Amino acid sequence: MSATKLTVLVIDDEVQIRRLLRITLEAAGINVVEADTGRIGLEEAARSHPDAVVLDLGPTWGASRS
Amino acid sequence: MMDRGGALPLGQLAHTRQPATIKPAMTDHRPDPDALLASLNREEQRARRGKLKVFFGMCPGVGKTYAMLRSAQQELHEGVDLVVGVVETHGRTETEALLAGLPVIPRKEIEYKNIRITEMDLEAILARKPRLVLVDEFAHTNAPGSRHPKRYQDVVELLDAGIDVFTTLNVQHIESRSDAVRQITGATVHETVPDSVFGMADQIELVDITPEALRERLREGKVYMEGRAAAAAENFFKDTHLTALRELALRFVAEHVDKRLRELRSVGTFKTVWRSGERLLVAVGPSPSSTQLVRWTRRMAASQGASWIAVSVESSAPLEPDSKRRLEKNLSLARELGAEIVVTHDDDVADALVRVALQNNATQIVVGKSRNPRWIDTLKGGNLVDRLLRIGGTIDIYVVPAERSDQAEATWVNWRPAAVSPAHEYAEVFGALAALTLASWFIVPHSGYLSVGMFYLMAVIVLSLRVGPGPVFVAGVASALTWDYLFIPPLFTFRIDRFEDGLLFGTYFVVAFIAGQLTARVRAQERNERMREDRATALFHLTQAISAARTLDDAVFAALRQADKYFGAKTALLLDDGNGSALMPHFAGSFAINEKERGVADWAWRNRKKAGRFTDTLPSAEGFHLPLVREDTAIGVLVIKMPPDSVLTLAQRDLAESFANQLSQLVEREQLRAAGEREKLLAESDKLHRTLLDGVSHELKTPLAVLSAAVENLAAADNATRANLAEEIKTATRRLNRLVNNLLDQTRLESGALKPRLDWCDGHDLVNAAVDGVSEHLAGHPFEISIPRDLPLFRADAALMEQVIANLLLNAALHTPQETAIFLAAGLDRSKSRIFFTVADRGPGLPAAMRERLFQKFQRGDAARAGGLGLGLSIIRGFVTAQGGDVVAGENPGGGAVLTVYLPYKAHGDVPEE
Repeated sequence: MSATKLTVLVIDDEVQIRRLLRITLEAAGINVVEADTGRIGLEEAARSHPDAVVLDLGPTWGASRS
Repeated sequence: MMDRGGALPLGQLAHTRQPATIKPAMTDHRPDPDALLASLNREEQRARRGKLKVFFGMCPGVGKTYAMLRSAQQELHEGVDLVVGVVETHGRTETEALLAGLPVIPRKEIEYKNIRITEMDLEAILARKPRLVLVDEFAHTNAPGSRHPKRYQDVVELLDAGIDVFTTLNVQHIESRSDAVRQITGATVHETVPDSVFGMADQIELVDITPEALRERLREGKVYMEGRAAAAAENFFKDTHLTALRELALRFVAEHVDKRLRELRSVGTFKTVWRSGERLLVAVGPSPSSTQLVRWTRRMAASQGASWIAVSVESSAPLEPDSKRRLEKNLSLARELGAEIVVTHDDDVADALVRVALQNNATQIVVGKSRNPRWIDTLKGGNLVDRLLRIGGTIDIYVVPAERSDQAEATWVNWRPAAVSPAHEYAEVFGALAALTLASWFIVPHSGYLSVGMFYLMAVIVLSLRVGPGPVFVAGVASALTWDYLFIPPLFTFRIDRFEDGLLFGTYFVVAFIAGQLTARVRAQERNERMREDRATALFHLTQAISAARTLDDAVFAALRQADKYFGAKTALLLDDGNGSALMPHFAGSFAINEKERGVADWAWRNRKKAGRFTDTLPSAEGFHLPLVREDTAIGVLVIKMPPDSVLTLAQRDLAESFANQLSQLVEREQLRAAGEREKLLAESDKLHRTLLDGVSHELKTPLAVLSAAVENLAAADNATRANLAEEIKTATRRLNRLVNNLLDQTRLESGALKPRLDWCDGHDLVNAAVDGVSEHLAGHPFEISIPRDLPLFRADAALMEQVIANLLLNAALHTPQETAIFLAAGLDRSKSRIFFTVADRGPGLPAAMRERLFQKFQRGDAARAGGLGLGLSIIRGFVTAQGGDVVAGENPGGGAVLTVYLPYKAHGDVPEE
């Protein structure tokens, strides 16, 4: 299962949204990677090659602060 | 008031005033009060204003921006803290190269009808507060939604903030020249700058190149961008056009410099004119020959391309109504022919003319040829032309012979006493002489009759210091006759036998007569000075009253009461209704304007000319109507209603004009300010509205999204997930709850419905309750509390304070990165008897510029993360001030922000229980 486990990258500056998505997605057996800004999202995408990205429209771009 | 009649100490007279006839050529050329006032205002403004330097050119492409940037590079090299507010390089490479190394404030984007427009970021520059800012294209019109409609208003604000400004401007953008430019080039100019704004320039650098050079640059494509060059040249850059524009620009700058020069001169005292340019001055009197004089001067001025001034010298002798009317007519003719009118007060015409000439840097004085008999001139201290030649220094004097006219000049007018002396002065004269005669009767056997003559002479001179010229003349005649009759042998006859006695008697007469004349002059001068002083005082009081007023209405009210007082009249002010269609009376007027006066005022307003009583237009009206003229429009009318039998002296007319002028400046300034304010308010409320909508929708949507998603997933979830989801639902609900509470609190604060219930509170309890409420948010931060064990109880509203502390903590937790520490301290500051609660963090901190607006609603820190409405701090301040306290933002030494709440503290015993 772990070999076929999908990875989803969640980019959102609202920690609660990220948490909720993590809970629901992980409950469905999906691996979740989080990023709170656009820049970190890009880095994360390069690193973990997600199968899908859940993206907040117009995310904060600036430096990570959490 | 006209004649004080009181005694002046002899010594003081001798020191302060010299009789006019033996006055040295150079008298004290006192500054004109109006000019002094204007220049004082300017000086005062300058002191705290930034300096404005304008790079001025005849048309686009002469290299203004280039010159400005080169200057800027120089300034930067000298270490001046400068930034580029906005610079348009139009893609010219040399110009762009010069921009290198200059710090640029990024422009602000403004969205208007879905088009993004970039404008200078005024707020950013003001916040950055450099020493010098470069603002290209002075005449630019800002995009709708900017703080000011015009860029020059931005510049004014920058100058007001004490920031120096470099800017660029073409002559076609000067309001008064735009018509001329249109005539020359056929191109209509839309963006203009009022001349007065240009007048603020401290320095003008004329960027001048020859039309040939400009066309050369055009061919090389250095002006405009490629492709557009050819078309542009066809229309605008014609050789003839350019030459005309160049002259226009050069002349405009020359005029500006000349104006500054005259302004400088009017303040100081100068003994010679500077021949920096020709200016003619013509002396205008009531005689018909003055009309010819005015026309002659106008021709002369036109042929020299010089400006000219018409001067009327008002003496202490009042003019006949007829003469007055003729004088007014001559002056208005001069005004129509383009002269500047100056009215001054002096009994010595030559002196007055030279004074005005020196103040205005007039190089030529034009006077009419005197037709007085020679003996009258000699008696008056030499004729006008001789005296002008003597005291005029380097000024050219033109004497223009007048053609014969039917009207004989009334030379004797000047001989009449300026004011009829009161009867008690005659009584005083006769009393003194009678007493002296009686005393002399007993002394004469011992002293001889010659000494008695000396006594009489002394008495006449002493009397001349106390009484008017009429009584002095009477005293001279009476004393001479008494002396002759009672003392000079043969006694009791008016006959004089001995030659020496006759000589003495003759000398006596001449001395007594001269003494009387001298005194009359000294008094007249004194009166003139007093009048001048009164006027300066009146203007001073006016400006003082205006500047003390807080609103336009207050200022108008104060100004009109001053006018009431100085004219002994009733005054009213009518202002245009804002769109120039009708006049509306201002409520501060001291009488109600009837329909007829309304009509006169309307005429004065539309024609921008004085009307009503004391004028040629509608003289049967009750009021004297003065339009308030700004630039080329009248913005209102000042109506002065004098008592029916009064006359308006020229000095009063001057004063009325000064009042009108001050009022119009006041109204205009206020109107401009109000327009700016409205714009700002509109922009602000618009911004608030948007922020609120954005904020509320975002803040509501996020927890709602979480809630709906969590609830949806709840059914299908396993137990562990279900517990997690429940936790999320709880958090989201709390967040929603907090948001709604904040909005309600803010509403409560704004409606004034908040009434704190003060009771004795324990600081420890408050803090514990607050920390419990926000513990979830504090979870990611190392958190420290420091409260002294013996913190006394204090009076506060526990519910409000708990929320204040919670908000402080929440604010720190939300706006700082995870894992950074948060500190809370409370204590009693005994020296200032106040309780404080301080929350410090190690976050990004607060820039000084935003500390003040931090506490306004919907304000969020520049680095604030998503989430939050910007209400937290606004509510803190509202709650704290409602309890008589204060909240202050500061910097944490070592990084981060500190917010401290203070509450007033009184020991338990000092407070009466409610």
